Amino acid sequence: MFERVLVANRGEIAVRIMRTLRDMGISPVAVCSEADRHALHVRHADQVVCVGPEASSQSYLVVDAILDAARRTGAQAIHPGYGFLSENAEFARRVIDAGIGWIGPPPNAIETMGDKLLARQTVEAAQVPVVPGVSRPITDPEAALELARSVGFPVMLKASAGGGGKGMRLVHDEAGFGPALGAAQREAAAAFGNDAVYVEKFITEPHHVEIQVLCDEHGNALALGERECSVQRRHQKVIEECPSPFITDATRKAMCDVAISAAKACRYVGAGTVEFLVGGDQQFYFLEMNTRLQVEHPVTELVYGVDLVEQQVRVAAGEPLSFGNADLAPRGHAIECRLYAEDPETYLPSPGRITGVRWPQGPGVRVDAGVDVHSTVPMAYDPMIAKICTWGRDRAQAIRRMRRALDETAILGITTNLALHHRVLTHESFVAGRYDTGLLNTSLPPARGEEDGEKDAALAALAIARYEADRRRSVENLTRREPSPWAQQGRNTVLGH
Amino acid sequence: MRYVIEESGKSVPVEVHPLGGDRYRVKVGDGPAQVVDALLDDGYAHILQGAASFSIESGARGDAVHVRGRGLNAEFLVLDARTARRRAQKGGAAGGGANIVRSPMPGRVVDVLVAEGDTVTAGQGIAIVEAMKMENELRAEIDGVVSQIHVRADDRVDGNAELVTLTPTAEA
Repeated sequence: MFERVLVANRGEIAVRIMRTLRDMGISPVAVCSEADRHALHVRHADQVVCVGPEASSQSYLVVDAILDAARRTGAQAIHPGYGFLSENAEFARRVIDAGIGWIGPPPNAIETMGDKLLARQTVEAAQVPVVPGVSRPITDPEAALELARSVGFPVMLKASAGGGGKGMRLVHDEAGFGPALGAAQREAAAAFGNDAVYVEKFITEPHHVEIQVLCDEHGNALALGERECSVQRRHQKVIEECPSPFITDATRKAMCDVAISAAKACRYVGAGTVEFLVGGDQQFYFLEMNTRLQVEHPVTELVYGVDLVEQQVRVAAGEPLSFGNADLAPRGHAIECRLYAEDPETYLPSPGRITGVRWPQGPGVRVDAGVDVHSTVPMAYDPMIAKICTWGRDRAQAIRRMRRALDETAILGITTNLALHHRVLTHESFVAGRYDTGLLNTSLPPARGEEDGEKDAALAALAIARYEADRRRSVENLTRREPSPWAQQGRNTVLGH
Repeated sequence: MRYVIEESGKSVPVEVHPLGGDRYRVKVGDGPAQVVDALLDDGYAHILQGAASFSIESGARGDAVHVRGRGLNAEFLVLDARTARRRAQKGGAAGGGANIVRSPMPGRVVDVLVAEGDTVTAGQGIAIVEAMKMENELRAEIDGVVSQIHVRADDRVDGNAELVTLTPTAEA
């Protein structure tokens, strides 16, 4: 097993990976940008190498700098986390060529699944159902519009190299097509350095459900059930749960089988996620395969009792999986709420200094945070700052625990979407488990108000604190007199006046 | 001692009288004077009021204090009585400003969607600013005519930076 592993990432996922490394007796090494020298993930590491300035294109994305950091610190393997270089086949190849362990899938699998069009062709050949659409990238706006017409509106535009909602636009009609295409291409170019986008048919009342797979290099492949990821805004996930309250046991079984086929089609090794769109009729279609650890992996870990990062590390070290599909014993229900540094009404980002933090605790609560008090949320990176998960023996208990956990959570100094989570967790459709990806466009219940007497108590506390501060200041002013002649004399002697 | 606490434009007077130790008599707004036990520390307050217990976190946000209880999540500005009077005479803190389209966060200008002299309507997209890897369209709050454009595509801007000034239709 490795003794020292470099985590080529930042934020909550770097912290989360380092925790498992420590559980395994492995020393974690961090990399950071200049803006992140005191970031939480650096505080969790034994060693750190600063790899460049704030812009991720000059730091976290610089392959040579990361490889150099691994060499300098003697790291035997690199875990890329998610985002950044995690789905960069060239990086994976460079790591392997440098004789460093790569905690991720083979470069060829990343390449196949990273090109969404090639991915579609590959899984189609393995009898995996795909969304009706056009199997080629688009550059010319006129040709793009023609293709959209032939698929039929509404259509979805997606960055060919993308993920995480960047470079993605839903287009309802021809009038909106041109501007949406321009915006999608700009975002795709900025985020991935590639402005190719593609068009696919938009499935109505869609559910976004994904299957967690885990494969070793000895030919074993497992499916660890599904995650329901239909609570989304701007095509970015906000709340996930395991199991899905929507799909039937038969659908789950069929999806797990298909996900394993998709993984085998690209000779997958490690932890990966096969994403599907599921229509109201339980028909499901392959969307893409994420060849990395997924943000929302903790809900699977809570229900299946498996540390996915530990499994990734073991698989990368060449070990065979120590359990099979028959050993998997899912238990209870888990929910994850993603905390974003953004306004829950306008969705505008809110970078800045965090001046106070209170995390939830107690039965069934797990927090994966990338910030703490004295952290700054830089504007250069993703606005997700933490994930709060709850587990319950059933969905109702997981929901009640999440409401309590949200009440216990405080992030001060910046705006977060905490209020949005509470509104969803009390939404009739969410509570009933009947919702699709349109949930956040429906009218939400009112925001959590303050408790009786709470605001008056806060105002009292603020006034008392101010009173005490003023009083201390006036006492200091009274006692700060002219220095005594004795002290002045001594001072002059010392200074040689 | 009397203070004035502002929350989004509304002010509430709060009177504090020390009763020794951690006890205070406090009168909030028009409410009755109440005796509270207060444990205060940097960024934290525990308030006991009769049988009620309130645990409150606080942290600075600019000049304001960001406060969080179990349900409460709000920002307040604490003023002494004299400062509050001065602000009231000046007509409050709000400097209008609906005619200026600002960037609510630091970021990079992707595009300015209007030209000087354009007529715009409330809700119309004025500029696109990218921050935290997402493009955000900033819209006009009022009907008006574009009188001045302060930024160009690719400019980096600070939070609250002025992007575009509008002349309200009524005055145009």
